[in-house]
Amino acid sequence: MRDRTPVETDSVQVMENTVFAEKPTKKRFKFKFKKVWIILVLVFLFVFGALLLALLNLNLEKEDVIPEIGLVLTPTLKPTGPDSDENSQFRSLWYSVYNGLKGIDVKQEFLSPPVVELDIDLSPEVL
Amino acid sequence: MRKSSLSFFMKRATIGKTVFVLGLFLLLVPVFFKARASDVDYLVKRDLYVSAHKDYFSARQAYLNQRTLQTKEVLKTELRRFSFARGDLLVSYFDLLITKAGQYLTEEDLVEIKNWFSWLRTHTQMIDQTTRLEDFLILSDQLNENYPQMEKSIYLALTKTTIAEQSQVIREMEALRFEVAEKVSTIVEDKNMVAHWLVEVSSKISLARFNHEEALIEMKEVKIRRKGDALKAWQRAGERLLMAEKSLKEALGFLDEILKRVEEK
Repeated sequence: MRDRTPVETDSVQVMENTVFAEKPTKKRFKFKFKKVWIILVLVFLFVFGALLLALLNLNLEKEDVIPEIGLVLTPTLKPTGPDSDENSQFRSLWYSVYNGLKGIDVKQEFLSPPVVELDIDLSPEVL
Repeated sequence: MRKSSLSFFMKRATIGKTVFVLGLFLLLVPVFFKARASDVDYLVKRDLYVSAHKDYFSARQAYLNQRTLQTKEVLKTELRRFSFARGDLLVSYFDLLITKAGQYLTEEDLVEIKNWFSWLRTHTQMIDQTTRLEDFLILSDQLNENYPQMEKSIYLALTKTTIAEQSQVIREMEALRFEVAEKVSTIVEDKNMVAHWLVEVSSKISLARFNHEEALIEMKEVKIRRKGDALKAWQRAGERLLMAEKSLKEALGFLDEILKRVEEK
């Protein structure tokens, strides 16, 4: 006959197992939380980096020469004379106009309509 | 006790930071998606249309070669898919046009485009719901008939958009010209030459405005008989707009030279 009376040492063992089993779970939770935090920071940095690049891109092409003008014209990046506030203001207005003009897609290529097939053969012999 | 209260505040600070970052991220997401939604939607619909177009022509070729009931059914299915993809692409395109051109154009300028957008949306829904071949043929004919006028509205909107963008530049240029003209009075040397350049700036701006008017006339007065007529008019209008751009660049060049003289003083 098998002895079915509960043994105290078994229940203690079970308890110990339960207690020890909980510890790694907590660690895992902490680890996951850190991971989520890092991902959030990375996403945040990526989004702001993209925004910053988009903003900087507007001013990266200042050194270009304006074509098709008979007069001179290499836009001066810095005032040639005394750098007064007034001169800087004029020059910054000038760049604003220059960048504005340069940013216009005269032929609106991106907004041109898609080429779609309208003439479909719907004759009875095909359908 | 002290340690536990410190960790309590640290936890609160961590939660606060997390909420702050998440909040910022959630605020940015709609901004990004709103700006990109119409672009992305249009590009996706364009890919779908190209794929449906290819499949339709393959199915048509298969039917013409084999002439079986099975290939005929496949052809009908592909034709429906192609027609729906075409309508859907046009709807998406008009949505994009309204979003982008809407940044520069007034409600009045967008009325025609918005009307076509509504018409196309209803038309595409009808194509999707049509089961009878006769109805399908009628709907296809309607699109064929309306497309040339639709094209005219599109190119007119594009012309107006470019004009609006260039006009914005002109306004800034005129403000700069006005301010520089006041400053020029303090310059003794080259005064006459600079005054002459200021006149040139005004003259180039007037020329740009003249070309704007001509471009609009090209688009408004074109008689549309078939598909492609509006495109030809747009090409002529485009030449006018390029001439306007050239004039504005020249005006900007004169302003640059004047500024160099001002900066030398």
